[in-house]
Amino acid sequence: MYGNTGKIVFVDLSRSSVAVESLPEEYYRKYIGGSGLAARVFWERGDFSADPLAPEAMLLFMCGPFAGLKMSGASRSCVAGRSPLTGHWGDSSCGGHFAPELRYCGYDGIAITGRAERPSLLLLEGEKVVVVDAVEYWRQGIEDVNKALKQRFGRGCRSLIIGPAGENLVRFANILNEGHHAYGRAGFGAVMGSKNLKAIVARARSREMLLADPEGFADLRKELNARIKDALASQVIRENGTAANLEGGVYTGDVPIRNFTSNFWEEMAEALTGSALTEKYLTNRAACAYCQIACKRVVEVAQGPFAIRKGPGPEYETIVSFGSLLGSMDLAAACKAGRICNDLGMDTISCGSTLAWAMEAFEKGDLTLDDTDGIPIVWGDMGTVVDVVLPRIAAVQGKLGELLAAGSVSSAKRVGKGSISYTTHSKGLEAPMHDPRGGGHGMALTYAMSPRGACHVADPMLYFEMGACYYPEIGFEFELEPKSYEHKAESAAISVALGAIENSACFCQFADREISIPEWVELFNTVAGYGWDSDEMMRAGRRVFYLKRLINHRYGLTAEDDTLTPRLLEPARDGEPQGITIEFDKMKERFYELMGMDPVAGIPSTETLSAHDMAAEVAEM
Amino acid sequence: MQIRVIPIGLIRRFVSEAEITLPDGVTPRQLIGLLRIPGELKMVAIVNGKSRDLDQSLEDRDEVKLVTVITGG
Amino acid sequence: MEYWKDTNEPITAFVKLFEEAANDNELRSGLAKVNQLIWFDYTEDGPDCSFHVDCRDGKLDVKAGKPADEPDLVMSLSADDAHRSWSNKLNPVMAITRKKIRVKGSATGLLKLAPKLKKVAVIYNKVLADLGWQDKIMK
Repeated sequence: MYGNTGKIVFVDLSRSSVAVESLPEEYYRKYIGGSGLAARVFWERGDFSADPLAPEAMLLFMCGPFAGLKMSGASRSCVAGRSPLTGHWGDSSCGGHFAPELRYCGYDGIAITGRAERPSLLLLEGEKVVVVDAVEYWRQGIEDVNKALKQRFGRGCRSLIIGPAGENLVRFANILNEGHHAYGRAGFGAVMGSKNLKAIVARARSREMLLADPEGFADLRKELNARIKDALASQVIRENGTAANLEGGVYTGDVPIRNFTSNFWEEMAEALTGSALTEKYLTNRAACAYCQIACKRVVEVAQGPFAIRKGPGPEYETIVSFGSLLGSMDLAAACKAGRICNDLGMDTISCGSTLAWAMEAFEKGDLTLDDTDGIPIVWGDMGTVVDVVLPRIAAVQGKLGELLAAGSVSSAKRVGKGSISYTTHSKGLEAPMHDPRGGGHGMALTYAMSPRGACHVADPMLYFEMGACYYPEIGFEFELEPKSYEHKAESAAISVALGAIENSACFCQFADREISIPEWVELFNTVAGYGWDSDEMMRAGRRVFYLKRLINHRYGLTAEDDTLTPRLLEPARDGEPQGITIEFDKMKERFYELMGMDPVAGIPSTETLSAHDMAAEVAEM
Repeated sequence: MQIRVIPIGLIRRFVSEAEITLPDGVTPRQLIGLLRIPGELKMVAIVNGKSRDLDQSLEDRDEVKLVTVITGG
Repeated sequence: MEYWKDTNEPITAFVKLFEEAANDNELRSGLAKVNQLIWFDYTEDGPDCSFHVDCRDGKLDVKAGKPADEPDLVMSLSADDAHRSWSNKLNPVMAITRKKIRVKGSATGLLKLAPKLKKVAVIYNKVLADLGWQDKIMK
């Protein structure tokens, strides 16, 4: 095998056993790697009847074919399985430094079942994999554990760590690499917690990779690295972070405000935009392994109620989810909230969204002081959020903690009173900080179609709407008007396939904007020897999307679940998108047609499955 | 005609807030070109608080906010 | 303009390029498959700066200026970027992504010939040499 090593570690924590297996090479050519390959393994070996937090549940970490390569954007990996937040397929990707290390250890992925008797960590030293006692780290924050593990196993080791939130099974608990990069969404930190798995530590012995066409790749790598480094978008993001144009997003109505009830807040725009972070709190820029974009922020807030020491700083999603989404324009508060979530191990998007729902519920009286242990949950009150509420959620403490720790949808179902109508999710996963009404109606469609739930990185529709893409080889030549449904279904049909490729290749979307379709094909062929043309590559992308849809089908999801909550579909009340209706049903119907999917079951038809070479997978069902 | 140009977000790296004199009938699209804002950016013009077609002429004393739609993840 | 003295020069070179390219079987049949009336619009450099190619129905007619019929495809760019493009120094798909080239109509067919730009550049450089413009050839 080339690029990929062909080896997966299967760990049973109940028995403390470790076995290395090779998957058929065909699985890679058909499902690419990353979340696609994880879906394929889960399809075959996952226990579909297992509760997400039961020992029988399978947790998968998977790299793509490009992990380990010295290329900007290539150092991502994914975690996948049945999400404890949504109850169906989930996957989440992470940058940082773990993916190359896992690849250098000789593995494409790790599949974990069972439950350790005592808090444990998994240690990979080169090819050797062992389960190690980790009682001394249990209950500790991620920052301290990260430091302790580096002291114990060496500065070169790379770790994935959960915080107290994961240990306490907060349903949107996350997993962090180097205490800075997150597998944010879908709650897999809780799955690790349920398995008594505090951390995974990897330390490779060598850094060799075997490529199908090393010279061909070397030329391509040189060209792409230069292009990625010099691109305008890269420069902008390097300079002012991923919130570099947040101010612009407020004017287009893309930035959500007060639980998606408003689409314009002029004062907030300047206060939260990326240049403000640079001016006030930035100490350093940081990057994932081998990446020359360097979008990561390191910040320090020297004084005030939200003072924090120098350390990881917020990206766009966190700035908004702990900013305007909660009715706050306090950037320092967003920094501190993000830092606390990093240490306790919670997804800032789901956490922020759950808080936004709670603030609206409290304002409406659907949530009372009795429900909240006497703690007022008020718009913009970041002091209470940071000092009182976040720790309680992570500790699942009191009525408030217990309620909110299960996420906004569960909270709304428990509270009732019609409060579900102002959640902002699709399939149980809260929407990210891009309001489709302003950012682009195509995202309403792709949020609804994304297998894990509302997601803007499952596919590049956001970039399509931004006018940043042109892929004539695969039929994307449209100039899209964001606030319209025209060409959106056609665009989404292309976008979900391309997105599946990006997430299975585990490539960063900031970097891969610079990669053309022929270059993608060349990357897969020179690195991994897949022998594709662009048609084969797109088929593989669609195949990954279809398989995830089939997995969800086995969990009882249908086309009815391919929707958004009323809050996201009602016309905006103000701002640029004011009064404009999203023609959701038109887009949805056309999308199923184009994708060869049944409009009731929401899964690919028999013909479509056959045309995508999935007959064997279906027979396994 | 006198136009007030206000850059928003990342457009600030190309343009400073300014009062400028332009020939009558200049459109936002032409203004964007004159200001050498990179053509690859998809732009929106907010004229006197409302978004305006890029090819619709500006008028004397208009305030033009120049916004691009690029955003992060 | 970086490469051209006036707006006549690029049009002279590009029209001659297509006339020469018609002698290459692969390029000729490739253009026949494109089957469009294409207007190469460099009018940002001057009102007369453009040429069109009619490769509909097996024809290959090349003429300076805007076509009388409505074109199926318009590629608008600068004469300098056109020079870089024919010299195989500017990737057309990337240029369109970056809006250096603005497209009206579908460019998918024409862009299928993009891998042939290496061969086109050889012909183009010879055309420049024949016109006595060796100094314009991009290394």
